[in-house]
Amino acid sequence: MKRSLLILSLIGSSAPALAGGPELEPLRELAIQDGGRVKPLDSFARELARRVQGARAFGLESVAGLEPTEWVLSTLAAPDRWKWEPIVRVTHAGLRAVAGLPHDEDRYSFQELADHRGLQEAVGRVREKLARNADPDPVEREVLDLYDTLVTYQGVLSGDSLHIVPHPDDAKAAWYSIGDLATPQADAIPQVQRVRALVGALVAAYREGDKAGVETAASALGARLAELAPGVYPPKKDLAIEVHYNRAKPFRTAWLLYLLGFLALIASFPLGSRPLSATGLALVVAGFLLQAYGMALRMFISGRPPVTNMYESVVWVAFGAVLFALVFEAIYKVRIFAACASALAVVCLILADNVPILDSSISPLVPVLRDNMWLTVHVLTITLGYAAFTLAMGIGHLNLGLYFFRPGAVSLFKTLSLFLYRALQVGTLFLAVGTLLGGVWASYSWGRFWGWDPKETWALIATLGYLAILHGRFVGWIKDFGMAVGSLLGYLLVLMAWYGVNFVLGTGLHSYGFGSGGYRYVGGFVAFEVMVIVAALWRRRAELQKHAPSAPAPAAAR
Amino acid sequence: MNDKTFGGRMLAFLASLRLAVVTMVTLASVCGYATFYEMRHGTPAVQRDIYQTPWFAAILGVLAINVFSVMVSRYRWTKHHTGFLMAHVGILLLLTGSVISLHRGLDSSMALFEGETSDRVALLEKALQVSVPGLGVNGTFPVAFEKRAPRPGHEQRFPVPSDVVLVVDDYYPHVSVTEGRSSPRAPLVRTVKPETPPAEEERRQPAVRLHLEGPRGNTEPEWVLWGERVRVAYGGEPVSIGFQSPEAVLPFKVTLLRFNNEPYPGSRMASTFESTVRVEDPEQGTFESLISMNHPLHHRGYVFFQSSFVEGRPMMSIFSVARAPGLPLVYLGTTLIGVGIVWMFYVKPWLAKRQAAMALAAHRARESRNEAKPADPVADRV
Repeated sequence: MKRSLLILSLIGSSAPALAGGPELEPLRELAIQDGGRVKPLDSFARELARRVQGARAFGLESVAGLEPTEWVLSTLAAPDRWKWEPIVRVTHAGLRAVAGLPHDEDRYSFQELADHRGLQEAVGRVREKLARNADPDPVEREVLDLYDTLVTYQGVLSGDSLHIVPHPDDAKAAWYSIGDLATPQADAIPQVQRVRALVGALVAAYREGDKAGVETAASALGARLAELAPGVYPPKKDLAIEVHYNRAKPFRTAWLLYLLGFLALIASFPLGSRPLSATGLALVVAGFLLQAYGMALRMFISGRPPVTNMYESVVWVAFGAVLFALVFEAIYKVRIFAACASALAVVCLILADNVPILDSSISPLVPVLRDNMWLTVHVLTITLGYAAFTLAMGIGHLNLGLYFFRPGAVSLFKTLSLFLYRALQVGTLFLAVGTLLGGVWASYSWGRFWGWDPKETWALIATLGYLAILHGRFVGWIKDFGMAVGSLLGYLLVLMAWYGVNFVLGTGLHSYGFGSGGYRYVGGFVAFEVMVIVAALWRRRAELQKHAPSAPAPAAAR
Repeated sequence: MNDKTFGGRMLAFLASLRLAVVTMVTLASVCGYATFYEMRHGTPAVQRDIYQTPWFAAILGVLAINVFSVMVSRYRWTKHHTGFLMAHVGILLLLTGSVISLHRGLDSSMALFEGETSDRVALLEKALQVSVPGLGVNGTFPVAFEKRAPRPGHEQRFPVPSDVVLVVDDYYPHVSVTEGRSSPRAPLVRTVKPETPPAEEERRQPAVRLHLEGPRGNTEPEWVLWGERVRVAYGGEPVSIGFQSPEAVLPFKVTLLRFNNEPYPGSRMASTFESTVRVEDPEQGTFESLISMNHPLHHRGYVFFQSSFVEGRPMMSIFSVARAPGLPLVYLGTTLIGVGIVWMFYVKPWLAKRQAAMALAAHRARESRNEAKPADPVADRV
């Protein structure tokens, strides 16, 4: 009751929203040093919004109706209001239970959490555990995560996390924060008075709802800071490109195009419409080009190859699946590849946008992942293998769908099986070669070619699984049905190598990619796949038994 | 293959796809289990209990025999076998190279403080080392107490030359150590107490209790912690006993000149750590080199790579030092496997298609000649 009164009184005094207008552009492009990297304020604000509010549907980032950059400005203008605004989302039920947070809501204000005794005690317990060098369990990791978020948010409210003033000449030094401007150490900054005045003018203009004033103050501040530290402040063009990337969200538009393409292609099959089919393919190609553009932007911004974390690997797999599908389309011209791959790409890209473990923010790399050609080559090769197997898995589902629901479509089943085989070949080639290249990297970087590290071992297991399928097909043990089931089974191995080693096993030398979460998504998928496989085998057995009297069983079983 | 002799049937079995698939599935299953075993018990345990056991080597051996046999069974090879042979020879080379590296290679580490020089590396296994400088006696005994622990009544005895026996009569996988005096004047007494071992072996502090037996009597049993070296007196001779990694000597010396760890600007996240070292090689001269993540030092077959560091003044840098003499074979095998797969999947079908097209063209050409024959008396004469 007391809290809501307080909020009401503060809202009354807070500034009107600018509705994310163009006048914020110079502010979005203001450079800020954060998390070991210099980025535009826009990126900082979006990342903070995602952290504070948790992942939201379709990557929505606005906070209490404000566009992220404006939200950060607003916290500067009215910190007391934002202390009490219930925007911090705590969804993890285990975390709420451990901290004793109320169960009937999942949004809390900063102050409420910061003052919460249960949470303080929970943090204390985890820190004690860390001091003993023990590993925190998943719930405790959530506690730490929330604590970090609160610390960062507090830093924004006080200005201490907003490191926007570059060190005048040392590119490697820490930048000064807005909070620092009020302290004596800021006297080292040349023209510190001017910087202070501009920050003050920015906040004042915002408080008054003076759009033009905000724009003028922000662009003057940006220009002044760039002038202060010519060798340190990033070029305006780079900042603008990153803001463009943040705003354009190329991957989202790409999956929309893929989705439209997929629908057009699906509709074109029964209608037999050539224009529709061509439109569908064109949409898929457009989506592909847009995705490539997005990945190029991301590579430019981060200055590194496109696969360095789980999020990027999911985006890359979507890209690879469509790439292989388009290559196959060029050869076979059947549109089945394009339809299949576009559906898979839609799923991958939506997941990338929505699953909390897939963090889209660009952060610096741990030392072992930096600048090595073999590293880049082996990761890209292996993940292209994943992509081909994803495509194979999609075709496998299509084939099993035919098997269950259209048993009469024998010739389509045969054709699809050939395509499935082609996809499995590509996958096996890339996975086997990628695994061996991983050995080359390991030998270069760790001094041994192969050490039975879990990531290596699971890549080997998946390779062996697919090799068993291909060998079985070669001598005729496995036919079209077996291959369809095999493509699903094999994909479970791929998932283990891709996701499981990092998120389930969590041990070994590839520890830079470890994390927790996503169990429900992956577990659900695995359960569904196992059900499909069991149902298919069940039906196959029943069929073989039915035909057994007329045909010699062993031959049919093969 | 219709060879009904024993040898023929044996080859047919060894080269069979049934064996291949059973081996592949077995290997895959064992490896899958091993990764979960590693999650529970840690990396040293899985290496010792699974990957480095004779039975695991046997599975790989069966795979090698199978791969070899299938190539033999397809003899006489034709050009259709090109890809098949490349991929399978590649697997054999890979396995052979690994065996060579395992037996002839070196897997070790070297820890240096800034300014320190050394030509010794610590191997990764555990060993008991005894040296009696006065008698010129030395002994190093590799031990695996994690597997078979000595207990009172089940002592393990290691004969040191000259009639002395090192007897280990107790072992704890993890201990805590407290030091104290019963009274202010009493000598400092160390108490070694067994504790519940942490799941990861890397965090354990094992200890052994040992004494020397021989013609000059027995020494008092003494606890020796892992990594420690103690001095005892045996029959008036000073003896040093260590429970440490055995060492190997390199043919050159390495000095750590500087260690650098640099965070990303404005954060505490490490962006790189790197060591500047000086290598003094009596044969190849002296040079300096920078070792950082992904940029190891390669010298005379040894690879020094930056593995970790210990914060302090001076800083300590830890290198992994490895030598893998089988590597060229492994690389050759890798290349052959890659090219072989591409050949089987894409080149062979393409060649077959081209051959079929050429045969068809030749056939057509023949047919058209045959048809043309009666109408073309000139051709007939030619």
